[in-house]
Parts: sequence; structure tokens; C-alpha cells
Amino acid sequence: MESLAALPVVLPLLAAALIATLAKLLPRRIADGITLAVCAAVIAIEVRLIIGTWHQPFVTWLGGWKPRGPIALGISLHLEPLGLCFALLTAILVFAALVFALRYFDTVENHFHVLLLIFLGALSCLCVTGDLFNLLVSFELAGAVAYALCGYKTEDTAALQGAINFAVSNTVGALLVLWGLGLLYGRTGALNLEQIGTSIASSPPDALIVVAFTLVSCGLLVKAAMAPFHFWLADAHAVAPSPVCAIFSGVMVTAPLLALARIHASVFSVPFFPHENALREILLGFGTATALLGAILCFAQRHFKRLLAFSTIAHVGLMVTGLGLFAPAALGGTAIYALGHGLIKGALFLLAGVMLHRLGNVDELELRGKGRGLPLLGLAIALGALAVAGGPLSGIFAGAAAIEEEAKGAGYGWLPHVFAFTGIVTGAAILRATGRIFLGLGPVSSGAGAGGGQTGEAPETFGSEDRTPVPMIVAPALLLLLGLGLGAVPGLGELAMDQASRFLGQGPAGPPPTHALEPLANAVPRSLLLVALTIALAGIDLAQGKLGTGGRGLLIRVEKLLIHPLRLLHTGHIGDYVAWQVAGVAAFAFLCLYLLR
Amino acid sequence: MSTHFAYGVAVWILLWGLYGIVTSRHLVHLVGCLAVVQSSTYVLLLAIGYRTGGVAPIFKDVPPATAAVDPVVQALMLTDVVVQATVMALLLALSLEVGKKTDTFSPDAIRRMRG
Repeated sequence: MESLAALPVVLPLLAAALIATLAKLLPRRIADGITLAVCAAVIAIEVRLIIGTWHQPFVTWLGGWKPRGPIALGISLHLEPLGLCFALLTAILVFAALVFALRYFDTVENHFHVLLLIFLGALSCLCVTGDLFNLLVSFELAGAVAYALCGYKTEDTAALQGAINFAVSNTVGALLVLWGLGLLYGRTGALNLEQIGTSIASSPPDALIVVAFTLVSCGLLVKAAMAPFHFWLADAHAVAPSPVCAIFSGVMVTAPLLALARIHASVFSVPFFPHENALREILLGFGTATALLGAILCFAQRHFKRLLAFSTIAHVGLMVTGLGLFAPAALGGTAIYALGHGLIKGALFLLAGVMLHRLGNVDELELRGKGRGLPLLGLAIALGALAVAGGPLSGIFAGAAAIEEEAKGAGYGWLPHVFAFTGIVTGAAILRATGRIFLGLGPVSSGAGAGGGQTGEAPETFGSEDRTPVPMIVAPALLLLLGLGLGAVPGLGELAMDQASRFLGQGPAGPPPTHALEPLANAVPRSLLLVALTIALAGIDLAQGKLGTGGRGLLIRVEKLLIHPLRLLHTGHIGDYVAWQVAGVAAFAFLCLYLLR
Repeated sequence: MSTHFAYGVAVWILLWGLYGIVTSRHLVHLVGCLAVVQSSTYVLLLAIGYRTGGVAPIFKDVPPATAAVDPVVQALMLTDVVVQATVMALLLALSLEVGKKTDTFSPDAIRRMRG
């Protein structure tokens, strides 16, 4: 296992270097083959590592450096199943994106493969590293590559907007993390996560530790697009090429949450333990606000990919609340949720790419009725919508069930309602778009749900529009099946809770588990109710023209009082976004300093 | 006293750089302000590693136990210089594309997507 430990990081980087060197000489198909082979190899290695570390995490030190006494010299790799499952998700999504891109990009040079491989290597490093600075550098590397991938279509001004806003926001976030890291290093002299944790565990936290925690958390939450740091995501994920969006929404916004969970568990959990309730309420508050904001704005979009981007923001908010509960069951549930959401959202973005390929547009109103000849595509997107809403048998359903049960046990009975609201509204938005595009339902103009986002997107493919190439069908189908099937794995909640409690350093939950989760079948009736409400909401929005004046008046008032002010906030101007970031960090810091000491 | 001054300078540069980004009207100026924010992290890291009276951390001519400044933060800083150079080059290339397409470098020119 020692020999396999660093391979998921090293293999993609070596392959990227090879393809970059030979870029002009390699024919496209050879580069495709090398990249797909490397992804498959990384998937196989990671499955082997997950099996090997299932009962006992594995720590290895790079370069032959070993810790001397309590002082860590060198960089450690800390392999354990939660992080490795995340790395596996990354590899699966990159594989699917590459399969999709086999026929999607006809004119791309081999740069695309190089960028994707570097991204895979950087995120794999992030999932396994035990060193704080190594974590930050992998984030920066993945980010730099992501900025380039986002602005890939330089002929489109909206793509430039997305890429520049993305790059500036995330770089400011990374610098905040670096400030926090510097403060922690100044206090403890250590960069190894375990060593920092041991150093600050003995005394109660003073202002420096609280400020360091604030800076590191806020920097990571900027990358995770929690409100009010979320503005860049709506711009960036709407304009990146569809296979790239699948990777962004699938893995790049949830990786910072994994990093935050690891940093909190290793470094800050002991000093902040007396104030855990306060920190929990702060995270629950921010997460709930993000979820509600993302859901409401998702419903108001007409640009299909921007709609999906806002639903990603909403679900990230829910995952932050799952993290904020600080319990093994909730952390396990969040992990399942992240995996399920990544697969389903990836599938939805790839399906949006197929839609763009066949219909030439992603604007819901302009495409009204044009999708009538593509029933299977509409059905697949509708299935994805119901899974996003929390329909039975998806990873999102299984994860949400675990988090909600923990929330009720901890006294936050309102949290399941937030999950329900977010699921219904985001699922209904996607379902409404499907109904309008593939069935021609709904009014010609959007009426009360006036759409946001740019109209018209330059088609990303220049191939024939009469057929969908086979790779572009296989990739989203594979992701959708995996995402839907994740909830069908028996005992998943218990497995995840076990691993999560090991992750949190509390030892395995032990057979028989000290805290048995309710069987998943108990949550199915509620999930079916959510599906019914989702379909109802989509139907109401599509049937606007048939509502009486009272109903329409209500919808118009909701739009004017609730949706319009929120849409005014999203100006597209990078200065506004960074101003919100500064305000958000200040608010978070004020709350932490006031409540955590 | 001098270390407190250095930390104060780092905070000042950070805040000033963020102010520049928020109020910038030219994309190249914005990238420059981002560089200013980055340099605040460099000042912070070097101030943390500095030892009054310490020598450079190269132990060729001096005995190993001599007080020296911390080389780890210098390594961190150099790594970050490289990463941020890449990001800034990318941002400047994107800004040039914006200038070519819209004949202006104002952030208002790239507000195509709103709401």
C-alpha cells in the first residue's frame, strides 16, 4: 500500500507533463487514450486503497522524512475512506467528462487533456494530504487550472466574465486561507495538521486562534460558494464548457467542505469544544441562508446552466448545515449527500451539453417546445430533477435522511423543512424547464418568473446536430445510474457513520452501533411527498396563464418582493462580489469572536 | 515593536489592496490590486519568520546552532509567488481578451450575466 499511496497524485501529473510536451505531435485519439487509461488506473488504485484503509487509516511520509518525537518533518499523506471516496468521485467525474468530450470538442488541442489531468492530480492530492500548506497549494493548483478551463471559450464575453470573476474571487479566498495558515504557523511552528492540533489543544482559544479559524474557514467557504461568497459560482458555472461544468459542480465546490471538515477535526475541534453549540448555530445559520437564497434564485433563471449553478449553491448550503451539526451520523450523511449530488449534478450538466448540441441553445424561453423530438433526453433530465428534489433511491435522498435524523435528535427540528423546501424548489425549477423545453408547456413569456441570465449561448460543438454521438449518451447515463443507485446500497448510512466517527477521531461506532440509524425505508413516504410537491410546483409555474387574476397577482407580488431584490444583488461586477466577501468575513469573524470565547 | 510594525504593515496592505479591487475601474488595475493583496501575505509570512539578529539560513560557514531566520516561511512565500504568477498571467491574458472584444477594460464591460 505504501507504493500505491502517492500514485493517484503522481500519475495524472506525469501524464499531463507527457501530453503537454508532445502536444503538437500527438494525434487527438492517442491523447484521449492516454488520458482515459490514466483515469481508469487512478480509479482502480483508489478502490484498492479504500479497501485497504477501510478498518485503519494509513499514514505515510513523503521523501523518507519521519517525525522526530512530537515534531513532524516533511509532508504526510493521510489515507482514509472518506477522503479517498472523494478522490474516487473526482476520478469518475473526470473520466465521464473525457468520455463526453471525445465527440464534444472537435477543435480543441491537447491542452484540454493536460488541464483535466492536472486538475485530477491536484484534487487527489487535496483528498489525501495531511499537511496544511500542501492542502492550500493543491487548491491553488486546481483553481488555476479551473480558471483556464472556465474561460475556455474566449470568443464569448460571458465566458470571460465568468472566468475573471471566478479567478479574482477564489484568489482572494486562497489568500485568506494563507493568512490564517500564517497565523497558525506563527503560533505553533507547525504545518502538519495533527501537530498543529496537538499544539493548540492544551489551552482555551484566544483571539489569534479564533481569527485564524475564521480566515481559514471563510477562505475555504469562498471556494465552496457559501453565501455571501457565492456570487462567482453563478457566473462561472453557466459559461464553462459542459463537461467542465460537470466537474466543477460535482466535485470542486464540495472539496473545500471536505478540507474544512478535516481541518476542523484535526486542529480546531478540541479548543472549540466548549463552544461547539455556538459554532454549530453560526454554520447552520449561514448554511440555511445559502440554501434558501440559492433555491429562490434557481427558480428565477431562464438560462438552464445558470439554473443548475444556483441549485448547486443551494445544495452546498445544505451540506454546510450537515457539516455544522458536528456529529458522525451527520458527517456521514453529508459525505453521502456530496457523492450523490456530485454524480447527479454532473449528469445534469452533461445532459445540458447534449441539449446544447442538439438544440443549439440553453435558454429555456427560446427553446420552448423545440425539444419535442428528444423524449429520452427530457426523461433523463426529469429523473435528475426528481433526484435533486430528494426523490427516493438517490444519494441525495440517503444523505439527507441521515442529516435530518441527526438534526431532529439534536433539537433542530426546522432543518428537515429547509431540506424539503430547497429540494422542492430546485427540483421544480429543473422540472419546469424540462416541461417547457420538451413538452412545450407554459406561457411564451415568463410572466411572473421573469428569467435571469444571459440569453443565447454560442454552441460549444460544431458537429452535426441531428444525432447525439454515443459517448455523449454513455457518460451522463453512467453518472445518472451511479447517482441514483447510491441510495440503494444497503446499510450505507451506518457505513458512512462508522467512517465519519473514525474521521472525527472518535473511534469506530462499534458493533452493534451505539446509535442505530432509522432504516432508510421509513424515509421513503416523505420522499415521495417531496416528489409530488415538486411536480405540483413546476405545474403551477407552467400553468400561470390559466390561473385567475388572484393567483397571478400573488405570483407577481412574490416576484417583486422576494425574487427581484435578490436578483438586483447579483450585478455581475467583480467589485461588488469582493465587497460582499469582505463583509461576509467580517460578519463571520465578529460572530466567532463574540461567541467562541 | 518592530515586529508589531511589520504585522501592521501587512494588515494595511491587505485592506488597501482589497479596497482597490472593490473600487477598480480598469481590469489591469484590478489585477495589480490583487498582486498588492498577495504581497500582504508575503510581508506577513516573512515577519513571522524573522529573528532579530538572525543570519540567513545557510549553514556553510557558520556553526549549525547559530540563530537564523526561519527558512520554512521563505519556502512558503516562494511557492506562493510561483502560484500567483501563474494566476496573474492568466488573469492578464483574460483581460486582454476583454479589451480586444469590447474596446474597453472596464469591469462594467463584462457584466453580461446579471440576476
